[in-house]
Amino acid sequence: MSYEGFDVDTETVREAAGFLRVLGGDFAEIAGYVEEADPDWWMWGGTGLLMAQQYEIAAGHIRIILDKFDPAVQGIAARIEDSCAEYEDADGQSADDLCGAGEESTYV
Amino acid sequence: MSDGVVDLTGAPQHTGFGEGTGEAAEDTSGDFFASLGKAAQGLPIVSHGFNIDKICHTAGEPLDRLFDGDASMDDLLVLAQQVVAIEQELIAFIEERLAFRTGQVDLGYLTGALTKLGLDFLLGVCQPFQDAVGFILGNPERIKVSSAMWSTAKDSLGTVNEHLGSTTVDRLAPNWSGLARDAAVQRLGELQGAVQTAAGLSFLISTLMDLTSGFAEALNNRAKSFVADLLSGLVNALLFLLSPDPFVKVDAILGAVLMIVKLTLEAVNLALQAARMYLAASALLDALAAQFTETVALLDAMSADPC
Repeated sequence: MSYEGFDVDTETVREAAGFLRVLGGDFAEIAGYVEEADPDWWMWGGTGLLMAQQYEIAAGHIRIILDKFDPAVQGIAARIEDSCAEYEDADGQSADDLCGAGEESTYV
Repeated sequence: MSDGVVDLTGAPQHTGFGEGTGEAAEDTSGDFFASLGKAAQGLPIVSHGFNIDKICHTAGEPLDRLFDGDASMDDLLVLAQQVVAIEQELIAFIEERLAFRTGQVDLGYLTGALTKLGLDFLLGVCQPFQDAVGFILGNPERIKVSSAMWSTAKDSLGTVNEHLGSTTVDRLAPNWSGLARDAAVQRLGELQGAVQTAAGLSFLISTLMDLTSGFAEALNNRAKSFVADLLSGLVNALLFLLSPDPFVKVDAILGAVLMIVKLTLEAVNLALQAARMYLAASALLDALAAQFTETVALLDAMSADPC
């Protein structure tokens, strides 16, 4: 099985990762918004006796999920940016290696 | 506010005690004519048109699914509620015929109708009064705001998810090839799946709060009817005691029978609404039980520091 190699436009991919970080901000905004979605105790009245507890359990769990989206997106964006940096480093390192020790590469 | 693709400025929000609830809850507080118009929808004769139109709009889709053999338990409960609503309309119609059959004003009926109109108007125009009543029975408008907020969250998650997809397809995939790119695309696909799950859960909790708001509204309507029926009953009792006319006594007995039928129908409606609420809560908790642990583990793995 042969290795088919890779091809990358690191600048465009970095821009995409940057946009992912912006979307992470959107997730954080949505998570912050639903923090305020619970009715106050005086809004529930008698109906709260039937439903408030089940609502609060469910809402709490959904908020845990929503709070994790921003860090998850930032994590993926960081990995993509790291990959770009490694591609660039590897290319420069290979160029150095090919030029031989002690001779400065014109590719770096 | 972020500089991203979602802008929640102006989205539905809870407000403090006595403050208006906003468009999401069809707030009419402080607006004399809007409150009067809304209250007038409950007037005898006028109300039938609104109510029958509402029943027709609500029953259509569940009825279609019933005939297609795809009806859910909630659809069956909705249809049962529509049957109860039609019976309530019939009872209201009979009450009106009895009240106006001689061409004279039936004082007991008029007292009840005007009391209900006045209470509807006051609850609509005066937010502190509505909040005070909600403190006891639950405030349907404010619970509906919660439903609207979760629904907004669901829509916003959908918007962000679309951008996640287009970033993957249009910006990452064409400019990158190799194993790392495949892994990144896979991870972003998994993230989109998790966002879809969260949007689904937000929809379920929004539905739950919408049904809860309906239940609180039914409780409030019962309370208003109780006050109206009480005053109407008092007037009828006075007429019963004071009038020598035997027809007045027959009217009073008929009125009492109709009131018992109305109470029974309202109790059945409350029970059906409660059943739908519990069904929605159960669907939500089942979905959470099935998806929560897996989704959280996936998101934790994504957010961990790259090594």
